[in-house]
Amino acid sequence: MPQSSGHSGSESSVGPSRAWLVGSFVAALLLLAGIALYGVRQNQRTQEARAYAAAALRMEQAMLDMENVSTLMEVHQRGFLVTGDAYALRLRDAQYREGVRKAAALRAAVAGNPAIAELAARVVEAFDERYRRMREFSDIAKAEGLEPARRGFLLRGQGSVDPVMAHLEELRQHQARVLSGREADADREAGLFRDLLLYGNGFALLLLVAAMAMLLRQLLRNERLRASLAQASRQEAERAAELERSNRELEAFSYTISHDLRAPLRHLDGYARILQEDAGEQLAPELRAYLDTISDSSRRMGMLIDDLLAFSRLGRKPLSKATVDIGDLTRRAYAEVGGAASEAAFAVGELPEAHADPVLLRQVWVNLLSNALKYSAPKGADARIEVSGERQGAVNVYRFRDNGVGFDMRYADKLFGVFQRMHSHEEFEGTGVGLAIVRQIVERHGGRVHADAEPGRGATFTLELPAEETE
Amino acid sequence: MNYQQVEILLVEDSKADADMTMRTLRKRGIANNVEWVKNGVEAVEYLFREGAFAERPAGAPKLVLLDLKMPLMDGLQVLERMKADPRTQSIPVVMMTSSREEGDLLASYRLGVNSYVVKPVDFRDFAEMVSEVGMYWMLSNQVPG
Repeated sequence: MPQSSGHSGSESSVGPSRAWLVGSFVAALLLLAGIALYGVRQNQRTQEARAYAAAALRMEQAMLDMENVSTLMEVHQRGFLVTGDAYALRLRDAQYREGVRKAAALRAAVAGNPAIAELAARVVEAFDERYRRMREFSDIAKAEGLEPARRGFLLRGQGSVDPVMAHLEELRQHQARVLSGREADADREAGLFRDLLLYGNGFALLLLVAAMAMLLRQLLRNERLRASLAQASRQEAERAAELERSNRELEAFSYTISHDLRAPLRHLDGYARILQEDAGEQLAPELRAYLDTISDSSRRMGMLIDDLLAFSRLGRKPLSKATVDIGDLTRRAYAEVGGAASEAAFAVGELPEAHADPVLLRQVWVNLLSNALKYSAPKGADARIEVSGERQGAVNVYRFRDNGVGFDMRYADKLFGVFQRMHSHEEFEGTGVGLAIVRQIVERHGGRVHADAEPGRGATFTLELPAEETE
Repeated sequence: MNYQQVEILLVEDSKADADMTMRTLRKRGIANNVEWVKNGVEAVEYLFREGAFAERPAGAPKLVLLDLKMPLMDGLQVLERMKADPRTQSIPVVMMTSSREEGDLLASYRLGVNSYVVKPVDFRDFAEMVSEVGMYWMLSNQVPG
């Protein structure tokens, strides 16, 4: 996601909103997953309930069969006791065998449910018990005749299947209670599931909509940011083009100045000289001195123009940095400004290498050393010029010391201005641009320059240049 | 009209500069017969005997001193015409101009200038320069045919 370093306000709001966004998505997804899991479980329970219902149905069927079989057993028992026909006993026994099979079916239907299985076992137990009693009375009938058996069975109801019916009724009631309990549970769960579907999904939907809205807002904001960045870079390009144009205009302007301003000065000097050459003898000395003044002034104006142009070009020339051997630079610059021909004593100490534009740095050294030579010249053979330097942390320090005429520190702030001079033309030649050039070059390298001086005792110029490469 | 062979063609729009140049050449005995034209158009007409100079006697100057900035047609255009034409390409051309602009220097040498000097403001330096140029190109330098 592109971010602009200049928009700290919107940047700080990106953090929390992103956390919210991720949080909302995660919460919505978890919620939906939870609902789905719950749905699967609910489905499982429904299947369980259906299986239970099928089992209940099978049980009910077995119970009905047991009821029928029991009733038919009693009917056949009574038939025998009334008629004494043994065939009725065979029918009764057949019903019993049928009843044993139905009892097995009942046991199978209630297997896995201990409470009901116990009740079912009691039904089967009562069934067996009643059959045993019937057999007792049929045996009495065979041994003592029908009458005693009939009395015992019918009057006291000893062979009746009523207990079986009572147990079956008990089982049925129990089953009815269990079923109605399960139904209530299922109703409650279905209600819960419906609520969960309704509110859970609704909430998840809300979260997703909110997250989407946030995402959309962020997207729109990014779009606006991109647009404003594009506009900013367009404006930047326009400014650069404008600067380029004004630089070109300045270039053309200085070209015009150097060409058109120098020509009339040359003519002033030229004609003044020609007058001197051709008519000098006929002129009074005073008038000849005027002609000299015209020549001098025009030449000085020419130098001012040259220095001013050099100064204005400096500010526009791009820096091209390299490692510079300052010891070598110092000795060559000193030779260039005529050091060999002067009487001054020249001392160069150990000087650290610099990382700077060699051409521009040479200009600094030439200007400072020519100043030192110029202002110490009145001392003749006693003149002394020293260049020393050392590394001080992140900067290299270079000192140019002379024992020349120096200057009053009260005017030190004017020293590095353009066309600022401490001395008259009669004392020392110069245009007052040299130190302005020094300061401009040093400052363009990210350094500083300052001076200490005392009238009559000399001056010290101190340069500080960054030791490492800085952009 | 002068029947002596023209030695130097001076192309200079400033009368003062032309005066000073011709005076120096004459006084130092380097050239007496200097033809002075005021701009590039006249220079081309003179060199190729066209227009106002259609009737001039045949013969090429031994040296052309060419100012750079002039009205109508500047020094670079004259130089280009001269170095592109077999009739004039071996005539030495010295560019004399007030400014030492890197762009002008590059353009002049690309077009085949023989020398490029900057006119000093100081008249003594100027006279010295003009006589050095004249001495070298008029007396020491050799040209074909």
